[in-house]
Amino acid sequence: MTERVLLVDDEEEYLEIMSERMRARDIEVTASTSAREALNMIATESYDAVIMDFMMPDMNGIEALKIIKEKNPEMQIILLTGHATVEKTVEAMKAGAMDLIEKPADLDALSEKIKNAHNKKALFVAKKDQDRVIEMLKKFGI
Amino acid sequence: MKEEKQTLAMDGAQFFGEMTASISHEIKNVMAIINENAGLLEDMVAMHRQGVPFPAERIEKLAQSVRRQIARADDIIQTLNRFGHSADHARETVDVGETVQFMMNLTSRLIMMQGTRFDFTAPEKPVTTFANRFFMAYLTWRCMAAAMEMGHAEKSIRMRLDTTENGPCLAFSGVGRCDAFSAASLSALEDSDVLRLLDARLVLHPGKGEFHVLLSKAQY
Repeated sequence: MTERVLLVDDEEEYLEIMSERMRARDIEVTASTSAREALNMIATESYDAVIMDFMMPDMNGIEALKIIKEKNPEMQIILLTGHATVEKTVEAMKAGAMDLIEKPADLDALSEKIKNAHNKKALFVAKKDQDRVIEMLKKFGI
Repeated sequence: MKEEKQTLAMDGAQFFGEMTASISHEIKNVMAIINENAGLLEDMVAMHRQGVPFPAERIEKLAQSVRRQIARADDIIQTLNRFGHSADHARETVDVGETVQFMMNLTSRLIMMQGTRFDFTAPEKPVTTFANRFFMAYLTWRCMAAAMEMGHAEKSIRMRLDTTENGPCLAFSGVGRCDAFSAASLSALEDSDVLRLLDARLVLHPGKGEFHVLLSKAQY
């Protein structure tokens, strides 16, 4: 099954080339140059992973990550940064990021992470369904 | 006096660090684009080995993209170099308008991240002061940061440079209430060592939503 990715970065050329390379690897990519626009897209579409630049002009990556995770806990977020300091990595992980990757990113490694994101999301959804069924069974005293 | 010098040195080092960290992010962005261009070329070579012809036009576009990024990196590095050399002389004649424009350029990403816009009106003739260029840049940034901290909903700050009989005056307007209590950084700036070093004064005009930085006259 194809992985669905939302790629968010204010560098248009980066988005264009990265999207082209990901599509060549059978990844379904939607691109956005703004974090706020990305939040609107997430409200109506489902993605396996959101790959987002840490420093966006309209909103920083952590802020966006917290909003996404609050509404869509199943969505896996990978943050891209110029410098992955320990503090930044801890902050990102605490906020629920799947990973923090330093730019320039290695696309093969990133593709692996996207596959993992797809699997993690599928597991999360399956677990949620299972919990719902258990809850219903309990309700009926079974 | 010694303590004042130490504080200034610390403040200066912190400012230098903040600026160079921001610049290094810009360089990383350029590198990321060049890296993806190289990656795409490698993808094309791999496809070519499987019999797919080289897309000449696409490759030409990639070469143009690399050139654009190299030009961008060159600009960034020139800015960094100029910033590094701002500490060369203890005091010199400094074009205030040029310093403001330089700082707007150097901090453009930091400004953008705050969702703020600065409009600068420079006078036709250069307005100069006699100061340390590095700390003049630092003072300009501290004022810009304070203005952003106070900023109002429109997030549009105007800077105007004039010459008064006492020396240059850099005015910031569109900064909300503009009292020392509305911006911790402005309050801290009011009694700062950098103002003393540059023989400058900060004047608040809360009613007008403005604050002015009065600089010392240039000496010839």
